[in-house]
Amino acid sequence: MHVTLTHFLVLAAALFVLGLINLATRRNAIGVLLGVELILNAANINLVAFSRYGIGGIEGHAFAVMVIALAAAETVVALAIVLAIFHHYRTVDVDEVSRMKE
Amino acid sequence: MDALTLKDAFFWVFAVLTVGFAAMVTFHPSLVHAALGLMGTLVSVGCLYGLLDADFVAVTQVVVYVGGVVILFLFGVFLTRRIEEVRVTNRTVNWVVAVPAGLVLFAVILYALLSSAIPQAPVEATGPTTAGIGDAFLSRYLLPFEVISVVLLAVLLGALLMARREVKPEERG
Repeated sequence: MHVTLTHFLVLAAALFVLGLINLATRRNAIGVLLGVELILNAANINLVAFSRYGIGGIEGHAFAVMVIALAAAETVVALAIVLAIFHHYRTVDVDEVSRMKE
Repeated sequence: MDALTLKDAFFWVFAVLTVGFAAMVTFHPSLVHAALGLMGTLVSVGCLYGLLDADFVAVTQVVVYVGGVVILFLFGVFLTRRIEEVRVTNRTVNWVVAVPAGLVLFAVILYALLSSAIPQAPVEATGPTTAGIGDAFLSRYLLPFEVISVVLLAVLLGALLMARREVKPEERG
């Protein structure tokens, strides 16, 4: 059985669901961010796979590159916020840090 | 059913690696291991991009994600490290809800995929994609491209502002 578009889409779905479970179960803020990265990668696999199988041309690749750039930017800002939260509360547990201000 | 080609074999190897490392990210209790699992996932996904003839995206994935984002994550883990404090209370409740919900969602997506008509034959590979992506960014997608530059600048300043330690008046001397 040759690898088809469906194989890639199912793989991306598995990655997406794993990321979602990660989001729901991790209590450490950095762990939650790891789940976001998984989800973004699942979306990227879809973009590139669709592009390869003839839906949309080079746009799939262009969007994938944009997603990678934005994911890196998102990570930087989120980690900066996590560090600021850690300085303030001495913890990065998302259940305990529920107030925006004192 | 015809024989497995080399490409198919590579797909299965990297698919298993991707899902395995992703499971490590999701289920490993140690954050350092989870971050290393993310690195494995990203490298395997990069190899899948290579398999999909997306050379530029594959290289970007390795350079930006593996070289940058994972390192940032590891720094983040080490800088906020009080892992011995991780308690397991009320985590079990989350697992009980999250894993079945995830499986149900996966089943729904699977059903939707298998019951929809999607093309199965790849188009002819067109060789290196870098020139095409550059063309797209400098013609039709010029505005998003410029917006991303502004976003990156804003992120640079925002992250500095956010992570900088406040200088207390008494420290100033």
